[in-house]
Amino acid sequence: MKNEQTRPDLNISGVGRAAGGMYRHVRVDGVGKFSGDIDCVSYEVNGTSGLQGNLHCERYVVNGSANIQGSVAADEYQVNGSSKIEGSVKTRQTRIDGITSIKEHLQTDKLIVNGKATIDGKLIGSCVEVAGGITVGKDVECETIEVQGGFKIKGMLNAGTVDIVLHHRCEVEEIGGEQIQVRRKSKVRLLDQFVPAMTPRLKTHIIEGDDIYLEHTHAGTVRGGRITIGPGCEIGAVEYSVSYEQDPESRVGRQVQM
Amino acid sequence: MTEDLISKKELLEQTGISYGQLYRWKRKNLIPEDWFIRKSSFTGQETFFPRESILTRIDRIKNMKDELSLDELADVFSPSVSNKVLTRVEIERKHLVTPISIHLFLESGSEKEKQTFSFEEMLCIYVLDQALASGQMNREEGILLVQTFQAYYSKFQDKGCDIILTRKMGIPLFTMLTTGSEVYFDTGVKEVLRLSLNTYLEQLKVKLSESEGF
Repeated sequence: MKNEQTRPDLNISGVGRAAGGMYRHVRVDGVGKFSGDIDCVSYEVNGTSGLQGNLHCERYVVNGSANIQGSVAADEYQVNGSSKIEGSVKTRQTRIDGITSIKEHLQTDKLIVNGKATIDGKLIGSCVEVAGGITVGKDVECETIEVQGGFKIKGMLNAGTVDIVLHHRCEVEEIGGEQIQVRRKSKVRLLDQFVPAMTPRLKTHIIEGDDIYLEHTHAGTVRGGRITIGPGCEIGAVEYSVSYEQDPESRVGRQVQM
Repeated sequence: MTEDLISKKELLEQTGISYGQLYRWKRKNLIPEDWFIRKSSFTGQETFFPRESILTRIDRIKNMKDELSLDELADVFSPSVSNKVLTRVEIERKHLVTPISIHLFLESGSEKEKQTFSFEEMLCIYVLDQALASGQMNREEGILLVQTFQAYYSKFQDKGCDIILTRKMGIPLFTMLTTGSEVYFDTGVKEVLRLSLNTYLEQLKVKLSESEGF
């Protein structure tokens, strides 16, 4: 970052307002409001802050709550509290242990979600790990995705490796990729027998990939090379080109070799 | 515009690529998003592609992927302009365009003795060259083409655009519009040329990357 030495720090302890501009470290310990774009090295919120503009920084850390009217470009994006972004977010590393909502797209290399993330636009990344919950309004494109929690994707999930361990309900319009694996770790819980709507399962229309292994999945069509259907699935049609195996406990409408 | 479409299943059968490869190329932006056309069919939703474009594209990817990495390929196919600068000597040596086109380009601008060209200018000359070579456009119209291109190309940014040359009663008229959009003229207008700038952009990038080795 240019002329880092000459930039002033901006600390707000208590209640304060400031204009946008170039700063070195921005830190809010009480309530802070900024009225303009900010370019800084670090932006740290321990209390509450609002920014009317875009933010460009190296480190974005929210322990309290932050609201940004514009977009964020950062190297590191970390939310332990809650953060709301009206624009899009572009980062190298993103870690959500709290709650974040992003109105537009999220583009990041590595995304870890232990809390809850809501992205109304697209999610583009290379490595995505979800242990909490994630909701995406449009498509998800990444190299690997590992899910241990729940998700709702209103578009398509396109990833090289998809590894889903079902703990909650997962829903996605379409899955496309190379290796796709959907498993369920936990045994059938007592609750499932009384409230079937709560059973962890994956619901989707189409799954297409080279290697597919599915458990507890409800899908319209599954297409690909090597397909294995494990227990608990309900599938309309399977179209495979290399091999096909099916657990007797699953229901498959029809299967065709292409 | 009724295009000839190919279903995803048929495409994979014909080209011998797997679902995984297709999706990987999509992720890498080697295949544009808007080529994936979703249509409902009796088995649910099916994806279709414009037959001509996708078949040539896949063919090109398969041929080029040995020499270039996927990221480099993505750069070739992306509609964004690279920031390469070319000198006049270089252009002539690589035979990218005919000297006539360079000359005409210079004539239409203010700098008559320009020696270096930005990639965008190079693209303009290339389009001009192709249009002239098609034999459907004369030199005067070429100048108009250059002026239209230079005034408006940047407005389209990374979205691909087409240039249309129409004539009515012998009067030429250039129109620039986003790729794929439909346009209707009154009956007296004849559409002479429709140039897809994306296609030329790609061609030019391929030519440049090929000639790099020499």
